Amino acid sequence: MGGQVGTSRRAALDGDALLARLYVLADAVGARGAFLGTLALLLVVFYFPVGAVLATAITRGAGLSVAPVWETLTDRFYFGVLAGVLSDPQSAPGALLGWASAGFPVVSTGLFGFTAYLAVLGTAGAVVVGLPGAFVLARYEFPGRTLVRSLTVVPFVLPAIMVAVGFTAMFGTHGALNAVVGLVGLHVDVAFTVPLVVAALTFYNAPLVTRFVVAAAETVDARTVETARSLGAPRWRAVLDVVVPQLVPSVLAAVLLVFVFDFMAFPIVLALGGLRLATVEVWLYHLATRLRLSQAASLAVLEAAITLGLTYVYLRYERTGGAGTAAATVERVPLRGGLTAGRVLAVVYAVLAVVLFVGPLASMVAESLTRGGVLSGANYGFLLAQQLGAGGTRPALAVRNSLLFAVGAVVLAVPMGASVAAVTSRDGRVHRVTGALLMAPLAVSGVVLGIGLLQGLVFGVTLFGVHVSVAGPLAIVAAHAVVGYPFVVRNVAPLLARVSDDVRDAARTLGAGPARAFRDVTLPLVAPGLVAGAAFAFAISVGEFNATVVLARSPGQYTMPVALERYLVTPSLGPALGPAAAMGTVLLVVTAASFVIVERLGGRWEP
Amino acid sequence: MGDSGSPGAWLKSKFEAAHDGVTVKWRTPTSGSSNLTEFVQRARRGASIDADVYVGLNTDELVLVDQKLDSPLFADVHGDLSHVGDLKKELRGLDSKGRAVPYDTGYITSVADATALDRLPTSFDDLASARYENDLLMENAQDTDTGKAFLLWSIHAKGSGGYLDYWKSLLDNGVHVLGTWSAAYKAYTNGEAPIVVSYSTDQVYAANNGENLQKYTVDFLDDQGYANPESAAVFAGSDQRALATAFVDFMLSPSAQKHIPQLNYEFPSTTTGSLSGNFQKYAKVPSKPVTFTYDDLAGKVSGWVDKWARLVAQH
Amino acid sequence: MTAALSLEGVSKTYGDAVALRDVDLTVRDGEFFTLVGPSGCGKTTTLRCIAGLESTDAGTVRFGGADVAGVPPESRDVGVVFQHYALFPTMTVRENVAYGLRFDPPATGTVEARVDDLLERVDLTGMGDRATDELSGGQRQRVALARALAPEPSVLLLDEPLSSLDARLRDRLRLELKRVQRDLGVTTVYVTHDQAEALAVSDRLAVMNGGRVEQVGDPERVYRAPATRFVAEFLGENNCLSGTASGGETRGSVVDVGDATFAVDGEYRGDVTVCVRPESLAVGDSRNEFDATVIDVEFRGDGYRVHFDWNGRDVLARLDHPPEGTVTLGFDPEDATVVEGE
Repeated sequence: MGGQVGTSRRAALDGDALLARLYVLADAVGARGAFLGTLALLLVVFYFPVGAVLATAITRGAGLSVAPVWETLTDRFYFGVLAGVLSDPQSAPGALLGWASAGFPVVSTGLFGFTAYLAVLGTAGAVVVGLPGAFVLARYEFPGRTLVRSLTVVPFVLPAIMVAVGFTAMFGTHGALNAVVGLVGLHVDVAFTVPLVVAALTFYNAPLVTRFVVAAAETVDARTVETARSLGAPRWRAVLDVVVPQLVPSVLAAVLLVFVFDFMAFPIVLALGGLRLATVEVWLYHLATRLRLSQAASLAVLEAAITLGLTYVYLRYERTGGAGTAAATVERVPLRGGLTAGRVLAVVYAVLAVVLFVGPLASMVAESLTRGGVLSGANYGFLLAQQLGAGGTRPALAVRNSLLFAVGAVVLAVPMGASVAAVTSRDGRVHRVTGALLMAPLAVSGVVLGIGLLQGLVFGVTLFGVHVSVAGPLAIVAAHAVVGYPFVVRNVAPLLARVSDDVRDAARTLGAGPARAFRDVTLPLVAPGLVAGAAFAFAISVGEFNATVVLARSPGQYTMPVALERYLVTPSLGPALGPAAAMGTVLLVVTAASFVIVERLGGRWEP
Repeated sequence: MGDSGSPGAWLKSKFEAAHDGVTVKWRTPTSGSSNLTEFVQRARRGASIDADVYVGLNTDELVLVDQKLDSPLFADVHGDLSHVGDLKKELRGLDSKGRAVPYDTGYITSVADATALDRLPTSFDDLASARYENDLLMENAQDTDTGKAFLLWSIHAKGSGGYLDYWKSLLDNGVHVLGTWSAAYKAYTNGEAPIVVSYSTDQVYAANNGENLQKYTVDFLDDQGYANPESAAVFAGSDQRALATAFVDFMLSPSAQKHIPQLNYEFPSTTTGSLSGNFQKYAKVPSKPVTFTYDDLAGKVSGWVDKWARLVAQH
Repeated sequence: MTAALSLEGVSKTYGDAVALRDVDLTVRDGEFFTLVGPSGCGKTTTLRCIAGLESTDAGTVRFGGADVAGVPPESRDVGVVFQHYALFPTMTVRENVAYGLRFDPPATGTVEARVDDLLERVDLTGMGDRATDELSGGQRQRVALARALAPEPSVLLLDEPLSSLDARLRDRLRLELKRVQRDLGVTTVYVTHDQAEALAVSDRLAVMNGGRVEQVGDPERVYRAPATRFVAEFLGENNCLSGTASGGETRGSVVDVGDATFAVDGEYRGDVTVCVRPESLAVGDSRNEFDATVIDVEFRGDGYRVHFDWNGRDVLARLDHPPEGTVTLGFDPEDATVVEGE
């Protein structure tokens, strides 16, 4: 009856001896080991460099001091009336009365207040535009659906200058939109205004919302809908009562991320709104380039406090969503068919989406095909000349680098994210705080990251008499992985929390070691999250600029966004945007193609 | 030096030809106005600086360098330059400490679309009048050469006590302050506004690209323009001091001055330089150029820019 | 003969809470052994310690005499059936059952054949290609059982496998479970909170409470001769009263419960608890009598379950005929169980 206790049931019996040894190794390392490895990388590439910069916010002279941060907090320019209250609390009640008796005039909320205001508007825009998109993609089946779904990440990676060009071309005083509405005598005047900036922020982030919600919708258990219907609810009611609550966590996650991104948006605000619509990041960038690091750091600290605080709040309410396995997902209906309210709205939405998304992109492509006001391939000729030329930035090399670095970043970011998700996706305040702190790469200013990497990794440190400095491709990949892994965590954590311990225990008692149990049981259940997270990490890597520009030590290490920036001003052509637009088009095509391919490959994992 | 490096390539080949066994290596800087700041950070942290010459230095950047560093980053080489006497008069006293050697200079002023305006603005006050409401595109003085130049010019015209009020009136008049010169220029060419703060060499571009020159009318307010020289400087820690100084000297030589500034769309810094072709025809020089020297800016420029920036961001 | 499974002095603490206190158990080869007790008594923890899913803080767990400390679950020769089945959702029934055979292939015959055999044993022939979420609760439980048994473990552990099923199904599956276990002769440890189930299905059982084992024995003995008040009241229904014992007239003792004195068999002195099963109470003449008032009568098909009130105490009796009003209830000394010291 069965074997004795001992090693007779080891994995060595299972086919490939090498594979078995890998499992033994994985067991030895364990989830904890992977987590520690992740922490080590994060410490070296992120926490120490960034921490060193932020530390200048709490030091003055030789000692610790809250002076820099306090000075920023009590500066009316940054915090408006709040600064006044903080610096002179006793006058607050009097001031309040004065305000009330003056008839509640508009108060100044300072730079932080304005930034928050822009972020709220941008988030609202992203939700208003993104949710209907999710509805269309989740509910309807139509040719090209998977393609559209793959392409939702593309706007995310586009460099701000290109988006600005596109938006100005679309919505400017002499833009395409005005050309169209001018036919009926209307005129849209939004140049350099908040609405235009909000539209651009929406452009960047609405697809994010769509993507999050669609991914969640695809894990909703259809049986819950059927149960509701069998109890007498009409279909729309069943969906409202049963499906929508399961989507709420994803919507909240998306809202949080979008708010954080909008709060920290920098190049696009400056490009479309100018200094009059300055945000905190704009100021931070200037302070940093002027080496007023202590001030920059205190801004960054306050900024991070806000964004990390929001992340913590989100984690408190992150729920695990539906309990379904994707085997029974809600079915999609064809888009072509009888006229229903849903279908009409879907078509209307599609038209608006084309205007908002395709318009600016088409403008960029058009710009790349223009030279001196006429149709011309000269800009692409310029790229070709650069590629074949002696020195300088080579476009094809930049493309290759972008793709290689992105693949490397994903290879690192996925296990990093999985190990962090495994360790922090439990209940309890400690886990939540750790979870929020580990999301820091999302929430900390990119400018500060750049400085930190420069002063930390690139300048190097002297350890035990040896000067150690890290830059170049490995550092770039590591930095990209660090910046992208939070997305993997946020996509995997909810799914991981749904995997009951029992199922893992069952695999263990049947003979699987921890690594084997993970692969056989847990992995198939979290695979959709891993794929979704990997896609984001890839996108972030392709679009990453702040860290790359610091760590790329020669043109041979440039990526597409860096190359694009280099092409913005060429001495021979002057301020023409043609070459940059051409590079931008290349970036667009390469990114879109990558995503389509990755999603096709990843589709194997999806049940 | 720009990325495709054609001025750089010219300098390299000529200098190497004249000096046996010497190789000139151009190091591509990181982007934006943080090129110099990386060197400053390196100097502060004791990290190595392997460069010998810095090319593309602005005067106010020099102010920042001195503010942030205790020991000098650049060496005083004025006395060792054979061509230093050729420098144009207004550029001679640029750096009282003899470090920055200007190799070209540009003039920043307003450029206007004569086809869209009845009358071009003639003065600062004119720009702030109701006639030009919402018509001006300006760049961020914190980070752009053109923006900073224009701001300094306005301080020169209105005084350090009155410039903020002037800018308040400009802001009330709807001036747009964009983040980069390319963004502002692009908006200008798109017709968003008919006046932009830009370089007095803009007509050369237009002529080169066959555009309507009227749309790029260089408009010197009060016959002035802000002279923004670009300088080279030798690193104090360079181990090739003699060669480096010779290189800078070469940049001031007549042959270099006939070549380089034009390639940069700038004007020569010496009286021995000259212009040719479209450049000669269309590049404009103001009769009363305005500039601030190192001494004028030291200790003041960052405060001026800060106050201005805060005003703009809040308005 | 070496026991198939033994626990010696096993203790486990979670932070401040003590889950297991000095647990001693021996399970014989081929026996159906049940751990029974209320929620939180430590029975599941014990099971998990046997499986290796939890570590012990003190004490030894032995399989066939060998100490398994430090041996991970995958190397212990156990099969586990979990309360909520824990089937692998992305695998078919067949793949679920075959999973353990990846690590311990059958010595003779193919994996296919072994899986088919097990599916037949649990009455699921032909269901091999179904997805797990197409199955009913009862079917899932059977898959879980087949899966646990496929690698022929030395010990089979079941953690409340029937508690999520309805009563009828539970009874049926219980029988099937017992049948399979007997056919295969596998040593089984069964955990349940349902004392009726434990009494019905076990060869021997251990009653646990608050992390301790209160009593071990075969069902009949433990039922008739509970060692503690807890066991007396937990298994079946019982009427227990505290009192003081002293010497009787001839043999046996007398227990004074305050408003009555009862004669019991056995020599007891001091604080005791007297327990009388409801089925041992009768109306009419007995050695020990008291008057009680009927509160409620439940018809049970095979008799009546009657609630009485006796001087404020709740008394339960099983009678053939339903009484009314106040009657005299009584019991014989040999039907009373006395537990000392409580």
